[in-house]
Amino acid sequence: MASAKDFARLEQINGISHAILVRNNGQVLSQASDITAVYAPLIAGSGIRCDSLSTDMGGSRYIHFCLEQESGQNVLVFPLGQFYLGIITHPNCERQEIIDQVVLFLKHLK
Amino acid sequence: MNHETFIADIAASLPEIAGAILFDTQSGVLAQHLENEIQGYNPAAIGSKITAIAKNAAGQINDITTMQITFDTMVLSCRQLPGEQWLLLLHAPELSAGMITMALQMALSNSANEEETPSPDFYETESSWQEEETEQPLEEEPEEELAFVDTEAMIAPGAPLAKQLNFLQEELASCIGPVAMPVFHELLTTWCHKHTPSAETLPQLVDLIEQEIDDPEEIKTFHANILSILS
Repeated sequence: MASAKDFARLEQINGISHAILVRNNGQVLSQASDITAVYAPLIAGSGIRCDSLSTDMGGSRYIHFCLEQESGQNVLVFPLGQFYLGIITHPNCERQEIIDQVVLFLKHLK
Repeated sequence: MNHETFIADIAASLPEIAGAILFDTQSGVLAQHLENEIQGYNPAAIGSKITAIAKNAAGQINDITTMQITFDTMVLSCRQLPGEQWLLLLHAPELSAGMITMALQMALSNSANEEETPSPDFYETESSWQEEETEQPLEEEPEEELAFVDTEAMIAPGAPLAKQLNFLQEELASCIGPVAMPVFHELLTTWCHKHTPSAETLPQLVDLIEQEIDDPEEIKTFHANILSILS
């Protein structure tokens, strides 16, 4: 079973700046900070719409969303039932490596 | 730019591309190409949801370059073109961002003589929607300043209600999965602020927990499993 501390441990992975757990109504479950306040609406809004895209794409299951920034940072959003896990990466990190590690982390939680 | 030609060129340039959609935020789908296996997809709905994500994100971030959504069967890559247009590509996961950029350049070169052709370096153009009025972010629930509750201590071995609370947490986890722990601690805090934590007020905590479970059947199972600790 995952605890808030488990999710916070994701931030120890090389390349990850912040891990933010958000309910699908935008409510933040991670520790409050300026960063979580900025990214939480984006994480929840993107996650909800990506989930709903499944119905427009023949029932395909949404695995993760990636938003690339000019700064080199990425925002990743993973669905977790009625929650979304947002990952903010450091600039110019190995994105696919981070995605693989987060997916592995989530598999171990289930 | 001839929209149909542009999309046909893109789709034909790489075998990994199963679909290409040119979407305008005002006019909707301008052109589309969908391979047989994805004929059932809804390009208009896909386009409108992608642009909604972009507008919502622009409220918080002002330097977005591309968006990519990975599904179990396909990847949807999204790039904004000048003039409120979006190129949406449905492709196999193996297709890299560099290959997409190359395909885009080739398609633009092919349509270079057409009127209204965007410049070949459009993919480096700063996104115009970032300056638009942004969609209202999701309405957030007003945050309530609550006094700290040491929920860890409440479930620690030896605490008066530890056995019951740990059992409730485990049962919640079997219903909602890996986020059960943070959710449970949040509910414990709410419960402590509304009631004096005791065996007598446990039913109120159970009520709070059941509100976190979506599936009515799972609520029934949860309730049946935890009845023993309420008696």
